[in-house]
Amino acid sequence: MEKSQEKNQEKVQFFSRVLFYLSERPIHLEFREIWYIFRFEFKRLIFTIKFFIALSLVLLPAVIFLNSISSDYEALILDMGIAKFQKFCASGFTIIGQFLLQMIGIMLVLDGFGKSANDSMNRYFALPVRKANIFRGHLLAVISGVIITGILGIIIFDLILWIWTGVSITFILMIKAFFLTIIGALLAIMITLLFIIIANFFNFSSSIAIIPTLFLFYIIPFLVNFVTQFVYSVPKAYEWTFMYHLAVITDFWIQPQNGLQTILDWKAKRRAWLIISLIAYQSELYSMLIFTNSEK
Amino acid sequence: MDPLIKVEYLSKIYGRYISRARVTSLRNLNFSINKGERICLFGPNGAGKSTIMKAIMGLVKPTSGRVLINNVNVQQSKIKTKKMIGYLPSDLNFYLTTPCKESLYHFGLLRGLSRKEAKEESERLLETIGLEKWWDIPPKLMSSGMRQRFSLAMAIIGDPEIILFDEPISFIDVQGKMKIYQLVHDYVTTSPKTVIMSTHNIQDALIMSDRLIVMDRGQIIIDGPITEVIKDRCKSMEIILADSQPNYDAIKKALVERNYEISGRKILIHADNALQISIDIINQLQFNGIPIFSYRPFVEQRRMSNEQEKTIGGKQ
Repeated sequence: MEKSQEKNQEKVQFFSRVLFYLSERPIHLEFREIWYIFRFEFKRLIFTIKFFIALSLVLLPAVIFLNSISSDYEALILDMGIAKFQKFCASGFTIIGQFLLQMIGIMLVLDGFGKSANDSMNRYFALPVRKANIFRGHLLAVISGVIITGILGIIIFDLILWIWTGVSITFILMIKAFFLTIIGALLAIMITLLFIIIANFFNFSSSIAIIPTLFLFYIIPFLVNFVTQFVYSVPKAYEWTFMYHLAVITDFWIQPQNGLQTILDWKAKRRAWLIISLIAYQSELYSMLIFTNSEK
Repeated sequence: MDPLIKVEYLSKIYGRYISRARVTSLRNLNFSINKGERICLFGPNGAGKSTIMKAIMGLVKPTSGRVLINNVNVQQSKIKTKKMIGYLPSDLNFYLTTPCKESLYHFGLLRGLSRKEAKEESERLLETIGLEKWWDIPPKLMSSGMRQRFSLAMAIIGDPEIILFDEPISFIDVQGKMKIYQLVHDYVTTSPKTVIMSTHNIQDALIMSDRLIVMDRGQIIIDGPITEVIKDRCKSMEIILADSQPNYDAIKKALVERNYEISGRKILIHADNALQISIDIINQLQFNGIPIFSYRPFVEQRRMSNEQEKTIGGKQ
């Protein structure tokens, strides 16, 4: 009897706390807080030498892609036609740009949430600001940094491609390519963020936290892909890597109608979208939960 | 009149769920602070001073007990209570690379000031702390004394009712310290504030506060008006040496004309003003090449508290 009363009391306490949380402040104050933190952190994060050095890498996709087609781009245009060639270039940017944006995303997450940043974040905790808003403000700053890099990357890529080949990719293709590179970068950001927050929680160095991301995104896909060259029964394993799902999404959207596109069915494409978005969302959610509940 | 801050049965154990090594930082503390009081939490490292500060701020969740500010539980309404508090931590509370005005303005906005108010307040504060010429300059180019003054400005922007100083002047020179003391003194006398400061330097406590809470191992061992505590209640000081086999001749030389007992690494010094002379004694010992591990006030009450703690532990 007493136990059930206690349970009821706990339930009432829980719901009263939820109501209290919701009604404590008007919603515009929450947005105001996030905006102020975002604005300050964005300036702090973006106007650093490190970011400008990273930003100089936006030339990289154009250089790598044009280098690979430099000898026979005229033949490619003739063979494919302008429309297909544009798609081919956009998908080329997506593959190369994805890697670049992921790297910049990881760097910005380390800058925003790493060990030293976590120490400096303590200054916010003494202010009348919700911890969740501190987290959101910082995350928005990181994502904005990646978005800026992505936009610059695709614009510069298009500009150099136009100067080099005389063909420019369409505006819609530019948006698609940008969007797809951003998806990969967001996934890398969210996963790295989760590992960094866990590392901070246990007082480990945050630079260790990028190792799991490197494994998940590059080392494991590479190894699996490498092994599939020799072992017939393994190819299915590649489907379990992030890179496979990112490739599925990419092919589905941009590439000319050949290769993976023709083999894949709708189910696989839907599954890829679901996996990427769910993992990114869950990672963000768990990071925020750990961040807001840690005593720092 | 209700006290402004009430600490009730406050205990804090770190590493409770994750780590097997548990550290008890606070043990069943009870005290209250009235509006306008200036309190100093005094004790060696690890006494629990910073944990109390953090519990008052709502930054640590008490294992048991609660902290009330204006009869509002800090854990249940953190935003409301944090609005009343300005916190000056022992480490820097600003970004080294962001210009002073920008950091102050940003903190002002987050404290709930309007844009205009935040701008005016940050200008006024920079003028008050004598850094008006450093308006556009990032703090990484400042001396440690200037940074400390800037840190103070960051803590008091928005005019909070309660100010917490967590060992604020532990690593700056005497002149820098005096300037900070003066600024704090001016600030709290122009508009009466409740000040809680933590330190392990009794001279800082003497200048800055009118009530002293002496802590050791998470317990309050003395609580009273500072002059009374220093004159009447603390008659002994325990110093623990770093060497397991100390040089007794050097100790004898350093503590000439002092009344003391020594056993192993521990020296118990008896004097009417034991707290007041503690810094001199430590300087004397260090001057004679005797490294110090820690020092703490030694009172009979401590033994009583240990017994109390056992009883409380049994109840839990």
